[in-house]
Amino acid sequence: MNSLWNDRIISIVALCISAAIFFTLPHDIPGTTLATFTDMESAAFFPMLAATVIGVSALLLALGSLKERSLQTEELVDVLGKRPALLVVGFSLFIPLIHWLGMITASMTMIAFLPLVFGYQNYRWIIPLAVLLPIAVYVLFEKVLKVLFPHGVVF
Amino acid sequence: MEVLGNLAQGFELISTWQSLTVALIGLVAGIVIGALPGLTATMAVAVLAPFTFFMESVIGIPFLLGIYKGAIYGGSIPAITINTPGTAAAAATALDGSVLARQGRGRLALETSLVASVIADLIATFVLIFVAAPLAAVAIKFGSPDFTMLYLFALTMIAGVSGNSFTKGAFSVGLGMLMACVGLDPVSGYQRLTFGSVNLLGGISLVPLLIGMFALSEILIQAEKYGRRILTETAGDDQGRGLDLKTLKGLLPTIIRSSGIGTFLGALPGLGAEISCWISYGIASKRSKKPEIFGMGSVEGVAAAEAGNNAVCPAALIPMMVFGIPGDTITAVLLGAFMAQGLLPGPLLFQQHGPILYGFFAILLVTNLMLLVFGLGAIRYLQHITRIPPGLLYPGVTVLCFAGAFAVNNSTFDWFIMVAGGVAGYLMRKTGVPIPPLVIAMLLAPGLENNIRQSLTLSDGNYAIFVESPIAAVILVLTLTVTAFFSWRSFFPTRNPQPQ
Amino acid sequence: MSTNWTKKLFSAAVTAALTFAASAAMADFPDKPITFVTPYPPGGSHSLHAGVITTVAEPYFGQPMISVIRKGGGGAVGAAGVLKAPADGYTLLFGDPTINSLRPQVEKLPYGTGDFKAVARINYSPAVFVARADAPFKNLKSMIEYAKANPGKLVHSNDNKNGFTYTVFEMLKFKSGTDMKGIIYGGGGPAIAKILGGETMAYAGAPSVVAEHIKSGKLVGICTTDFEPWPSLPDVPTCKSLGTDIIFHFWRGVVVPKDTPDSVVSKLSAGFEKLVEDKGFLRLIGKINSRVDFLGYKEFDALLKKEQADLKALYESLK
Repeated sequence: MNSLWNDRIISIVALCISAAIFFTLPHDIPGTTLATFTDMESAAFFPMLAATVIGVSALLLALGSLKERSLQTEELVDVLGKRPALLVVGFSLFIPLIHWLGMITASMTMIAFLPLVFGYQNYRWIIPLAVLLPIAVYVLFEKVLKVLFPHGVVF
Repeated sequence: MEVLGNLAQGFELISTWQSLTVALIGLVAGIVIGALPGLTATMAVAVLAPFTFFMESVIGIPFLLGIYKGAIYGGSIPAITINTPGTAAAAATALDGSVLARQGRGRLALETSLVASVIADLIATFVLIFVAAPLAAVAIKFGSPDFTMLYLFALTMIAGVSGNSFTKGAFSVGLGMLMACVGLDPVSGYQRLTFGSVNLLGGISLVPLLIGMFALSEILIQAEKYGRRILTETAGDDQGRGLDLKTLKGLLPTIIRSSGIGTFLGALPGLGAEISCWISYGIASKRSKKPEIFGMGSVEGVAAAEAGNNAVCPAALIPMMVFGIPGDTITAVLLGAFMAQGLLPGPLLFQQHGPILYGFFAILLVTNLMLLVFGLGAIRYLQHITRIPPGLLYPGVTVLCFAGAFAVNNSTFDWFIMVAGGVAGYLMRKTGVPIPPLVIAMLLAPGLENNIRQSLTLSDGNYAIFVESPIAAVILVLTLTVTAFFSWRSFFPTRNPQPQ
Repeated sequence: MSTNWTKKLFSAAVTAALTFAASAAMADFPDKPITFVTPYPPGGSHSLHAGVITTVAEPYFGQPMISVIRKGGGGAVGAAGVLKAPADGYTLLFGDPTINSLRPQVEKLPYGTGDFKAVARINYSPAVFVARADAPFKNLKSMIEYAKANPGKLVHSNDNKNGFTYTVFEMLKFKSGTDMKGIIYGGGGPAIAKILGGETMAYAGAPSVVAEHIKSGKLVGICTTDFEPWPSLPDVPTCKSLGTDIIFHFWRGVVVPKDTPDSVVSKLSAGFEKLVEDKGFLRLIGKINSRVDFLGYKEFDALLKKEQADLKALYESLK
């Protein structure tokens, strides 16, 4: 599952995160310098420690992958497959959908369409689930637990 | 044995069919709530507690106790069957439990989880009944340096769940530590890493993040697999044999040890079931004769995690009842419910309200038994969750996750956290960066940081304070021993297991 | 001809509809459930009071009142969240002096003291200074003497920066000219745990939190930051009577975004005024060792403004 390029990308991302933290910390907490690393009581200490752990592990990871120069070129592991990507889009759309349509109707829509991403098309089961589950959620949360969801235009 | 006499009195008090029924209803409701990914015990108890204010104490409190117990156990059900922990405390159970389910041994995992939970609960309840006051007296002596060392010790557990790559595990830990720093720092008043967002002032909400990282990432991973193969990887109808007595006997040392850990941690104010499950799991992996199968379907792992988290439930009541100090959020809510019934926790509680308290203890024991009976019966049906087609199951789980994530803090921002967590969790799983270290680091970092700062303020910056306290010194030695042991093991590993 | 008629009818209908809608909106407040936001984690005295209030509220407002917990940032997240909701009286904040009067003035919070409007004060707690039973001082006089003789050695528990305990201790240190070491523990629960465990010597908290420990002898009551001793702690004198004038009322009250119409505010205020006389409510309040000190929106508003000015002056002088 692990390709070398995989590891290298992780190291790069990690190094970026680490650097970003070191740059933004003085903005959040005035007076932070590298010397703050010795001051355990400062609010900046822990973030700096975390950024250091991330940075060091990134370097170690990069070194490790450079050492193991493989003979043939490794292909990039398919990190974001097509179906998961679709699902992520679906999840992200769910949020504004809830604000727009309201939790219940948005949920019904989601249950109506998400199964297709899994290649499941048996509408004899999908329709009842799409209707009943959101209603059950509504009853359980809004009536029993008194947690009020955002209600949109429709419901 | 005055305590036994009181207990008998207590049993009498609660032996009304109303109390028992209400406790059972609470138990079942709690199991359902815990089993639904996205719904947490904390939320359920917090929301339902005010309704009990106007009930009689023998009805209201048993109801809440039943929910508490049920929910902590319930989280293990989806953790095992569909690799999505129902509560944060079941995250460690999912590690081995879900692998067992995939191997066709789901029933074994479910029954082990149930039995371990029940035994742990029993042990912790006995401690609560008989040893509450002395244990609380010890627990309250834990000062900031002691907690610092304890948190440090807990962090070494990460080594047990890091998987094969040390550097990736370290990266995961660093991320967890970083995420724990986001928010308004209560000591200095500075806003850290909030980037001006009001919603991040409170930090990254843990439960929505966990829901995303475990549940949503699982859905994403499954979607990919489903795309590649028509046959799902979930095992067939018969999830295999259940737990037999021989295996149970072999598991008893692990269960008892984890129960002890969970009880002790529960009695310490500030440490909850989410942390205890990992520590029990980590220690079990070290003490195990077969550590290499942890993470690959170890029944011991499931038993340790479940015993660890269920023992916390009664144990957290110890500091609450003895000192009026809640150990975690749920006990804080229970405290409020107690107060609303006129039962003011603290040193005078036992003197003034002895009988009713022992009634509650009796309820704890009775619901434990109910859990065993009910659970064994339910498992026959529960294991068939794996038969639900993913195309139907996961969209439903998605809706539940969104509902649950919102309910934690009534925040729509938490949906973003959850989805981000889902993507992050998915990417981490695809690239081999382990998730448990991140979770553990996020759970432990705030406690570690706060206690370090408190200790240093106390000592005016003198680091010697960490070894001056006998408790801290002992824990420090323990930590060093364990770290040495782990390093030894990684240099001289036993045979490398192959993932199945 | 018919066009004229239709036009007239139409405009008459529209006018009637609009007037009806407008008066309906005003006369029928509330016509949907009201959200009561507690900005602190569940389990504290705040959420406890909120639970009691919302459970009895429906008859007094005609609609259910839903208790919502929105924690984070020591209360800032909940407060900011209420400000984002429409200022129509359906979203109420259950506030207190730290998030409404003090912290907006001394910290960089995403809102200011003027962003909220007073609705009603439900009650208040003074702070009760306590010391551990085996501390080297048993009363305020010896406590101040000890602090003067040992600067920075008197260790006390704090909750959060600019929190309830923190503020009253700052007042004490200022008024007595002493230097004490405060350790921030992040909340009342841990703060009490540490004093009981022996790590700290002193603490200041609400009577409901410390009373049991005073009664059992583990803690000694030093003084109360009120005009009179607290009813269930009659033996603890007021700080004022002992010569150190510290008055601090940690009130619990309802506030709304500042643009909420006055008609709505006065309706809410009237509703709460009747609510606090409810028998079930009073019974529960008694059980949680609390009480009622109701102030309607006008008096509460005056109190808030004075408090905000006083606190600002105090912090200026502390600099």
